[in-house]
Amino acid sequence: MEKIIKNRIKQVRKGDQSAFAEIVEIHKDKVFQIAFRMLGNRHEAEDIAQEAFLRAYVNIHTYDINKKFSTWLYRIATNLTIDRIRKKKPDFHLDAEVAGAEGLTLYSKIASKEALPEEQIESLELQETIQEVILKLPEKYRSVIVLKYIEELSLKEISEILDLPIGTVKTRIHRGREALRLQLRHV
Amino acid sequence: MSCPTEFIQLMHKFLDEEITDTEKAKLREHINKCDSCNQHFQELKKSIAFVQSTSHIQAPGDDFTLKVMQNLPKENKTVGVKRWFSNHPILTAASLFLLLMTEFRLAALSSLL
Repeated sequence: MEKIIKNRIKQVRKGDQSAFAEIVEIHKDKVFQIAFRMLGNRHEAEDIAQEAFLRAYVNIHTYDINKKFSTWLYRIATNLTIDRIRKKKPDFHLDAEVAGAEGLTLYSKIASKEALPEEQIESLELQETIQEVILKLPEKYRSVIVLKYIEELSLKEISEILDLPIGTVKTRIHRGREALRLQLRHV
Repeated sequence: MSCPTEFIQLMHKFLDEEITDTEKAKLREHINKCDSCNQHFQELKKSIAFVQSTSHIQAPGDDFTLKVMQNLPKENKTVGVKRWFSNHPILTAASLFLLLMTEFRLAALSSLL
């Protein structure tokens, strides 16, 4: 697979734009996933993923062909996502009380939205809860948790993507796990 | 929760798959007799399993690749010209020859004037 990708990159570098389509096709799900899990918004995630591929194309000559392409691409995507998070105003949280409605949170609004078979509701609610918990993590823990447990990358790859020493990545993963535990243990 | 933090460290080493056999035995022995550490460990593993269970549920739209391709900057002209030359070596050599010949004649002509 890595060989196919590198051949396509060489073609792109020679000016064959159409060879880039296959590179996008192979990586689009993973790139989208990074942005979606860290931002929690489909529309924004698509935007970031589009931008990441565009930047990869424009800067393709700066990629070191001896290294793994996905690491380089994920680095672009992760940086764009982190920038977006930092620019965003602090989001409201689902468990914040709704103004003028004492004790009523947005959780209760979501729960009453649609009638679905019971099992589906349970799994949907669980997915939503988990996603919310990930989004509540401070950005520096969120990025490592997403890269480690959703993208299933090695500590070494994560350290290259985030440009952090492996020791720092480990500490952040440990703290991220403890934060997740506190939020998810009663689920 | 009065256990030394060493055991929490060992749990994380275990989860990072960096634990040695001796350390693993030590952790196991402690967990077997300490309920709160055992619970802590189970909760960590459960949280990870939850996060992993949500992966790869959402995918980008069907026209994603098409959109990327449409937004790429247009191939620049010099690339197109270079590709034409490398695809047509004989024509390239012939035109280069003609060009040089013309230059040569022009030079000869201007030295006469």
